[in-house]
Amino acid sequence: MVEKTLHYFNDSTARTVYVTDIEFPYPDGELIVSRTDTNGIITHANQVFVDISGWQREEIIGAPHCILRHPDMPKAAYADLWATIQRGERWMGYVKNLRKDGGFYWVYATVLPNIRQGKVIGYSSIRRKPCRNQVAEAEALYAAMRAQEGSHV
Amino acid sequence: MFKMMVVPDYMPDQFSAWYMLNTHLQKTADINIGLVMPESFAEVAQLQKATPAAMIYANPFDAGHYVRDQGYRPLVRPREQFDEVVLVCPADAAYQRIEDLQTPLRLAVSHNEDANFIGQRLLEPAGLPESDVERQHKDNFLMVASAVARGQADVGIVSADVYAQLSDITRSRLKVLLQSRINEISHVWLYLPQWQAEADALQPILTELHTDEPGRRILTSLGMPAGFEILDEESMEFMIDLVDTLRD
Repeated sequence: MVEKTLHYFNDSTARTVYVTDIEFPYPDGELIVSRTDTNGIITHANQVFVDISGWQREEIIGAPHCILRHPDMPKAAYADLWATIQRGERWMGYVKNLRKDGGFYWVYATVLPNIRQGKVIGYSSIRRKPCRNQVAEAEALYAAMRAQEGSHV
Repeated sequence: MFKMMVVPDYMPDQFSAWYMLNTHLQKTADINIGLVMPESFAEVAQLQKATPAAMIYANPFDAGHYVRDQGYRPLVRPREQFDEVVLVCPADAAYQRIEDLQTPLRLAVSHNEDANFIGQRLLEPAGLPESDVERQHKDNFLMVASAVARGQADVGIVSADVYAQLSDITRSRLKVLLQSRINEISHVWLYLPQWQAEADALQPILTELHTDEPGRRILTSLGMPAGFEILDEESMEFMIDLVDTLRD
C-alpha cells in the first residue's frame, strides 16, 4: 500500500490516502447510482455503490462525494466537472475511483444537476461499466494532465 | 370520458388481463373508463396528439416526455418490477462475455427503444465501432430471440420479462451473455392533472390490488404479482434523470 496526498481543485486543503494497485472489477450489467446535495454531500447511494466502494452505507451517507477521489485523477477533471454541472449541464467522462481499502475501479460517469421547478436541488451521478480501450486512453490523458499540474506524488 | 391508455409493451397473452383490470377499476371506483390499447408506438403518438389520455401506462423512456412536456403526473408503478434486458447469443457461440464480442456483429433489436437503449449501454464495454454493427430490426422481442436462436443474428436485445417467458426449446438454443440489473427504472402510471379526482380514487385501488384474491389473479395475469406502489413526484423526476443518462 502506498501513501499519497490528495490536493483538491477548489481549495488549498489536502488529504492523505493509501492506494494499492488492485482493481475491483465493475459488476456486469449494473449501474452505480448516487445523489448529493448542492454541496456534494452524499444523500443517496444504491447497493452497487455501497458494494463497490468498500464503505458501509452509514459511512457513505453524509460524507462528501470526494471520498471516492483517487490521486491518479487530475484536479482539472473535477474542476471541469463542477463548472459544468453548476452551469446546469451534464458532465460525462471516465473516472478512476478510490475504494476504502485503497483499491480502485474505473467507471464511465454521467453527472447531472437535479433541476426541480427551475432550481438545482442536488446532483445525481450514474456510473456504468467502461470500455477498456477508453480507460487506457483516459489513463494516458490523466497522467499527462497530472504531470502538467505538478501534483502527482 | 376518462381514457386509460396502455402502451404496447405487454405480451400477447396479457391483453385480456388489461381488460380485467379495467373492469375491476370501473366497478370499484364507479368511474366510466375507456381502455385504449394501441397496437404500435406510432399509434400511441397519433392518439396522444389528438386527445391525450387521462391516464397512461408508459415505459420509463417515454415518461420524461409525458411528465416534463405534457404535464402528466406520477400515480403508481409496479412494485419490485424493474425494466431489465438480456443480451442473448446462440447457445453454441464461442463468446462468453461482452468483451469477447468481435466485429462485424449482427445485432437483432426490436422496436422497443427503451430496451434498445439499455442493451446498447450493456454492449459498450466491448468497444465495438458502431459502423461495424449491423442492426437487424424485428417486430418484437420474440422475433429477436428467434433470429438469434436460428443463428441469423449474433446478439439480440430482449426484455428480461419476455426472455423468462420464452419456451424451453427457444431458450435451449440461446445463451444469456448478460442481464441488466439496474433495479431503478420501471413502467409507470401517469395522469393528467385535470383528472385529479379520478386519479385520487384509482390510486388506492391500484396499490391495494394485491391484498385480495381477485386482485392477485389480475396482477398475476399482468405479470406484476407484487402489485403497485405509490410513485411520488421526486421518484418520478429521479427516474427521468437516470433514464436521460442512458441516452448518451
